[in-house]
Amino acid sequence: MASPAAKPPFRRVLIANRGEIALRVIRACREMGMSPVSVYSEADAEAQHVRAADDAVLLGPASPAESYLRIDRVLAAARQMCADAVHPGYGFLAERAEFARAVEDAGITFIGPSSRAISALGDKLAARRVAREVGVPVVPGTFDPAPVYRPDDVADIVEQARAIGLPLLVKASAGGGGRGMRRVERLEELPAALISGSREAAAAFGDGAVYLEREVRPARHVEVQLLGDNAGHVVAVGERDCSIQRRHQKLIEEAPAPGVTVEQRRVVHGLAVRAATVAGLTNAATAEFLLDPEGRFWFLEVNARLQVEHGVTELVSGLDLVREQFLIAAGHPLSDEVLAAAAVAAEPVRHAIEVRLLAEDPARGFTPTPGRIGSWTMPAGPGVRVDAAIDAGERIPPEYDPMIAKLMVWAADRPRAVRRLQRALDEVEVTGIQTTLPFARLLARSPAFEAIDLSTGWVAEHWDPRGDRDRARDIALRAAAVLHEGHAPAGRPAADAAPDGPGARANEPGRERGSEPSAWAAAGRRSGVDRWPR
Amino acid sequence: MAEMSATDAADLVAPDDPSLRVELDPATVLEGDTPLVLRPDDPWGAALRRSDATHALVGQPGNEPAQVILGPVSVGRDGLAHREIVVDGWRFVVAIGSERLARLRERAGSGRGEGVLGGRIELRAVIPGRLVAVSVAVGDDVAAGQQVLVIEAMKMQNEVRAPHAGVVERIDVAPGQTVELGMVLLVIA
Repeated sequence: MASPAAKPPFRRVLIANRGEIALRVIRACREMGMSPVSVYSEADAEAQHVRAADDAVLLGPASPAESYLRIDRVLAAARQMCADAVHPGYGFLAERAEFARAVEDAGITFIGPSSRAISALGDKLAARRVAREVGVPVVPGTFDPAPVYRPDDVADIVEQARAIGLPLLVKASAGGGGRGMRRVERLEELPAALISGSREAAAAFGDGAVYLEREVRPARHVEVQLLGDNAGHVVAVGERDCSIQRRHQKLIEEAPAPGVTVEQRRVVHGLAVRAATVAGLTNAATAEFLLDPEGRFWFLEVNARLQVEHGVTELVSGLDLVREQFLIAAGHPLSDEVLAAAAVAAEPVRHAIEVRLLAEDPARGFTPTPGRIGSWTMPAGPGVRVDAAIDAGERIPPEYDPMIAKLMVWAADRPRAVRRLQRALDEVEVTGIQTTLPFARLLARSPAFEAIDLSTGWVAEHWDPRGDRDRARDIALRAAAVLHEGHAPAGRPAADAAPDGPGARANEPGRERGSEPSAWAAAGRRSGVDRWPR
Repeated sequence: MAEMSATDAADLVAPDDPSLRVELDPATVLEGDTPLVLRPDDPWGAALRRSDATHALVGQPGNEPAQVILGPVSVGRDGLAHREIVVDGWRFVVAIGSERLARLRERAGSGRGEGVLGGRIELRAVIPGRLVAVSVAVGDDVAAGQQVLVIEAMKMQNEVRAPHAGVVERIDVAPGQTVELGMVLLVIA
């Protein structure tokens, strides 16, 4: 049987994104014989996704609103470059139905679900209604926009909140990334939470509709990777656990969801396929669920796009999801590879874990740390994949997402994958900015993680950086002193080690005669040669 | 506090004491972080399993060894050696200098602006470099915080100020001269 990929599905692909995902799509383009075209902002003129493309078009200033979010400019770039396909990546315009429609209207293929499906599923309230209609258990809550500014309806919504149960969450219908989300513990907090949540949602998404959802706690976040062709055939190719989050954004993802039985897997895959099929979903998408302590799955929402964490599913299933996206978009039915992967998706034979490395300080509540990278070494070796688009000496712009790399490992089973993750994290070297590496290292070594004690509240409940940072600080201070030029180690005559300064240099020969020359002292001298102005 | 006495003088570290003071740069300091003073008899060097110009491996009792990444050293305006050090992913910028000079500086700093007439004090160089200006003459009255000397180091002009009010008793240096760390520059009585 002739491979459907014998001929490139598209000639020229405009990638409407930046960073590692743009590079990820460029790589798929290269492997499929398609010419990649990048877009960029003024802050990204020297970015890797620009260098790696055949052509690149400047969109505008650094601010996303003036560059990567400008539908008109991205579309103009696609036209100018004669692209016959546009891949949106994730984030930015990926789930803007208006963008998908504009691309479709321009006669260019949008690599993702149809604008109709994006519109239907991007509205979380609509998605909740769709899921409920086909009998998929939905997190208890409301199904229509809550009245926000109508005092006459407050009594009614408070009554509904009472019925749902507390604590509950106010969520944005157009939401994502926790924006517009408010946690409500007492009923009297509800009206204010509705107003502030709605206001934030309106600012972030241009849509202030909010609804109520019971807080399932403790809960694990489990999501199902879906692929659907234009003939309406939708399959699940595996699920992921993304419970470790901070501020409702994922930090660690793994596939398959650990500690879940084959039977539970079949159940959640089936629920996801049912909801996606009725919604008319095509291409790649993800259905998100909460898994409660009783083992029940509750539908949350559908993300009608490629996910950040798609890589772990690729490592377990053996699929190239971006490649499949292109084939589906070109009108091919689900490939034999996809069907084969779907058939065994409930009985995976590998385990993969991803760590998102962020430019954030885990000792200061994950505050962003944009800046210039000093040295940059990523792990390698068996079972390791790194998706990144940054290099030594490059700047992390403050305008964009703080994610700087995705470190993935895979192995035959979870215990081995965890050990491999520990090993891979030890190989990471980033200087110049603080990253979330210490968080990932501690998590990968924690008994809770090993014991699959995962929940969306994990970071809030377990993360305490103080002890580990203090230990590291003490080592840093002592190493700095011991390796300092001119410092005398124990047992060395003081005369050999005048305090720092040019004077110390005159004693160099005498120092060689010092008692018990040790390797560390010699190394300290070597490294200290250029330390002091001469 | 700013008053000088014979007992205060004993508080100063001996001139040949090589003890180092290491503290975190404000950029990476958190509440509760305190400076470290490494004395010459500190046995910690033994914990250093190996090191080169950019990396070190430090043994920890009961723990896996810690991987230490060492950045280049630069000398700041303060005359201290500054260095970025990353330990197990935690990033620190440290300032390293001699404990003796740190004490001297603290002493000078504690007298500044308090308007208290201190005792006789020797002003020492806290940074090596070239003396580019002497702004006072022997016998001049100086006010606390008044600039008395300028030392150029690392292409930067570093002002040396009087730690407290007094009369310039003696000037030991002249413009154009190279000064070394810790050298007596002038005496205010």
